[in-house]
Amino acid sequence: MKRIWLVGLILVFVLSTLALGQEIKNPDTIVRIEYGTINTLDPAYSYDTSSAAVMFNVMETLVAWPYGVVDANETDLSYSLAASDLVPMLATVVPSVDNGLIVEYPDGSLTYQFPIREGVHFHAGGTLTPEDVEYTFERAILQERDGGPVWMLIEPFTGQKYTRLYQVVEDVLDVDTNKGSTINDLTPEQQAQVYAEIASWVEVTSTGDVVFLLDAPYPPFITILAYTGGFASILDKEWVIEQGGWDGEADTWAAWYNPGGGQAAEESELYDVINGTGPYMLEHWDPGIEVVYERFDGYWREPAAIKTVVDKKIQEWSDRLLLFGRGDADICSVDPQYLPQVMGQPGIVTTLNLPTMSLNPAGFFTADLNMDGNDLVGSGTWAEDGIAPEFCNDAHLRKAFAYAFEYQTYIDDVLGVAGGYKTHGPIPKSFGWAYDDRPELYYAFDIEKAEEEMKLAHDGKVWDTGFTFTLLYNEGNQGRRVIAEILEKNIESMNPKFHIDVRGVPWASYLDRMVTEQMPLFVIGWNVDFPDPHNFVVPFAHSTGTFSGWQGSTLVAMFAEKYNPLISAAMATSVQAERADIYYQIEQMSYNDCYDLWLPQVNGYRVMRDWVQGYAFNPAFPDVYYYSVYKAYE
Amino acid sequence: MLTYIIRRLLILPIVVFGCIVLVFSVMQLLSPYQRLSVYCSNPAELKNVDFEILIERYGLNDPIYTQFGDWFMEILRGDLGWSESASRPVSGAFKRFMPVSAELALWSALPLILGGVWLGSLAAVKHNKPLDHITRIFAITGWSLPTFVAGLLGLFLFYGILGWFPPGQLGLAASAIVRSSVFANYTGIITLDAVLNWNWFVFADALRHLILPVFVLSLVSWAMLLRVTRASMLETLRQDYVTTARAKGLEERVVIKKHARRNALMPVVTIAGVTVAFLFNGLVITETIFDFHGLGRWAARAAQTFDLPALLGYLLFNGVLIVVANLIVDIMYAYIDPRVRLG
Repeated sequence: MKRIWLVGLILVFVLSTLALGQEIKNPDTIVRIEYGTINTLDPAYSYDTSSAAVMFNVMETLVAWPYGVVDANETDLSYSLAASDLVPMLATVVPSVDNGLIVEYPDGSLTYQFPIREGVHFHAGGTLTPEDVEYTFERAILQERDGGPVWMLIEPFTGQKYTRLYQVVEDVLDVDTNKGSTINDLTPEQQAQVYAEIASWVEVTSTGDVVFLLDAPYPPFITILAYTGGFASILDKEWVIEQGGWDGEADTWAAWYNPGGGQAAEESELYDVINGTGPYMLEHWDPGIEVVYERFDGYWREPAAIKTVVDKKIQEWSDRLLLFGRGDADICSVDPQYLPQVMGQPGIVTTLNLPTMSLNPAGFFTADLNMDGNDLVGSGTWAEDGIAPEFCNDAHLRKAFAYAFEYQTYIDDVLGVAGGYKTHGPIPKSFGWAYDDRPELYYAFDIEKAEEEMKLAHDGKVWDTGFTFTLLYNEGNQGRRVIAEILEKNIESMNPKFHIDVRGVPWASYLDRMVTEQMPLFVIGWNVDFPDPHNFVVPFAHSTGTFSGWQGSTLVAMFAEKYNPLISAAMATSVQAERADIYYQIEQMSYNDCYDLWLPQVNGYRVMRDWVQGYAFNPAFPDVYYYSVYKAYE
Repeated sequence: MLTYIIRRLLILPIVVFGCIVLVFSVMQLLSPYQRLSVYCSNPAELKNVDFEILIERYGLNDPIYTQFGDWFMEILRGDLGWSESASRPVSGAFKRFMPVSAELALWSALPLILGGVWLGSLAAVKHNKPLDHITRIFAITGWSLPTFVAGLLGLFLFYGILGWFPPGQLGLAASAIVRSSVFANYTGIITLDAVLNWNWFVFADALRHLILPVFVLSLVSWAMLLRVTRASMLETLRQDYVTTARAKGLEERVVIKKHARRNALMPVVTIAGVTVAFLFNGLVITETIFDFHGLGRWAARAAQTFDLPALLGYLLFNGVLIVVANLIVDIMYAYIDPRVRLG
């Protein structure tokens, strides 16, 4: 508490007394202060925003998203998330059915053909070739790791049959790999057999184009190739081999499979080296401390305006505030609760109400609780001092919780000046074409309806017997704490026999309880991989989804029966209107089944010094795109 | 004396081993899933992770003695493991962070000796005079002011308002020089390297960034030393042998320096070991507030994220540090008071 007072004091004093002049500090350098942790520089391994930020500025993809600008002077939201608006980068043309570069065959398979740009150089001196593109994708797939992002490639290439390389290996070789554990033991002949399959997915034509072959339609496929977070960023084959990477041979790849078992990023040969074609070269990476980029003067487009970018990792908010307030930093990461401390201050520009593409937080009910050693469920029986394993199986009970949540209070009190918006299903509002914005799909706080639903839950048993359970949040996450406390207050107000204990635990314990299906309700979030509703309906409503898979056998069975067919159907057509209809159905069903607690989402915002110009904006971007940024008063 | 030192040095690994066994055992109270969390902090990565396979791969369900044995063998091979919180090997983290903390600690020794010992004895000599009152007020203030309060207030005043002492180790320009090929990093201690490179710009910039954290870090220890030195000196000055020395007509300077101060230092030396521990504990807060990437900050982050290899490595380091500090204290005893015989 003392600390909050001190920080507040610092803020009021510093920002009110500082009257910085019109002098632009460090005009040829962008200093950004934030606190993300970079895990790796290997694009095939990377699956986090901070690592993606490096690749986004140092490497390039075949196609990219067009962007608007949100800077000190303007808010131009003319970005696009439509595949048809993608722009060419290392490809010279964006394939489409109209230009003949996407070909659909009678058997349902498709090819995407990319002419590759000539005269593009890598930072280390190599020249881009179609073979580099082919190698990049083959390497990503063959080095697929536990918990990695390459499922995004394997799923479309296998017609949604598989998401893991070991599944492909087992299919091709008809062997059991114990979930990939024995892949490193494959013989050279077996490796060659698997490679032949993978190589057929990405090929270089005699004319020097790169062709991707899909067994079945996968509408968002081309958007996956614009994935800025890693695996779609093009590598220099010779350079990777020089670093000790896969040699490109058909019968050797298994030695590079699943580096570090997927949990030891440093065991990848590209862990701390990077070489791309992008506008910035990595000059220096000191893990957890700073990243420094230098402008690449041999860039194939106009070189960037800013010579040096320093991305400093500063955990302490008071330091970030002081450095930013004095103009020693240009762009600053500000958590929502600190926004009031910077808004309206001299020299600082804050832009609110920007679109986002995430569902973070969302609440997940666990049906069929794991009672083994579970101290969150009281007596573990139908009684006032506990809950039975099937407590959350009933939709009425889940709806009671949905009606008992104060959505607007959460927006006002937790999201504060950043503001927020309500949501109602597994598809973020920013997917306008797939988002059904009917008011009747939103749950609203209504304690009387909550009581009605609670009385219907489990045929009145819940109301008559009452219950006790513990609602956890991970320590340090104040948003999740407030969510739990709102539910505690309102649920307990309905009936004196209802008891909820709210308890904070370290992330380690939270994760433990989540994956072992011990929590009646857990809150977690999902951020976009590629901008398509499919990237959200799977983790939230597919029986094998990242989170839906932990919601207990009853809900998983429901997902398999009702949702999986719809999710597949939405991927079987490229017609957007047809896909939208299916997603509308999923949203309606999500409302009816109320398998999750759809919580309000925070609006996007940006905070920068008033001399920051050309700051690109597209919610699909993982981070700042420094190429377009410059410093000037305009 | 030599036998004593050798014996103490031989005890050192046993003490450290005991500490490690204790912490390792406590960490084993966490479930395998909890210990896996350090590898699974990104929800997106949970999609394609099979927890049972990971637990098996890392041997997290093996008996404690097996896990400890595996880890200990790795240590004997010189591999302290990988620190997720530092994104580098534990040994690499020490190499990176140790010079930062060492620089802070070494520079903090200066105000400790000047402010603590010298001012403490001066205050005693000037008993109940203005200098004594002023130092006592400073000491009480320093002792009672929490490190984070002193740090934040200092930053607010001397950087936020006056712009003199910014957080971090170096400014942009100096940082670019240190990263460049013209600057040789001999020790990682920037002020020392700057002198060795004969680069006074970097030296001045590093010093500018050190002033506040050094002041804050040493404040508590400084205040404690000052009070102990003053009290001890006052007591010594009342001893008969000091009166005798004065009666013999010795100069007051000689009485203070040769007869009183040397004897008054005994209790000061006693708390010197504790002071070292205080300094390194203070690093956690000081480094966090002033954006110094040193051992203290790393240890705090490791504790927050259950980074077991980092915690065990840090414990190893801390154990050695405290034992060595106490050994030095014992040796200093013998030096200051020849009546003390070690062995």
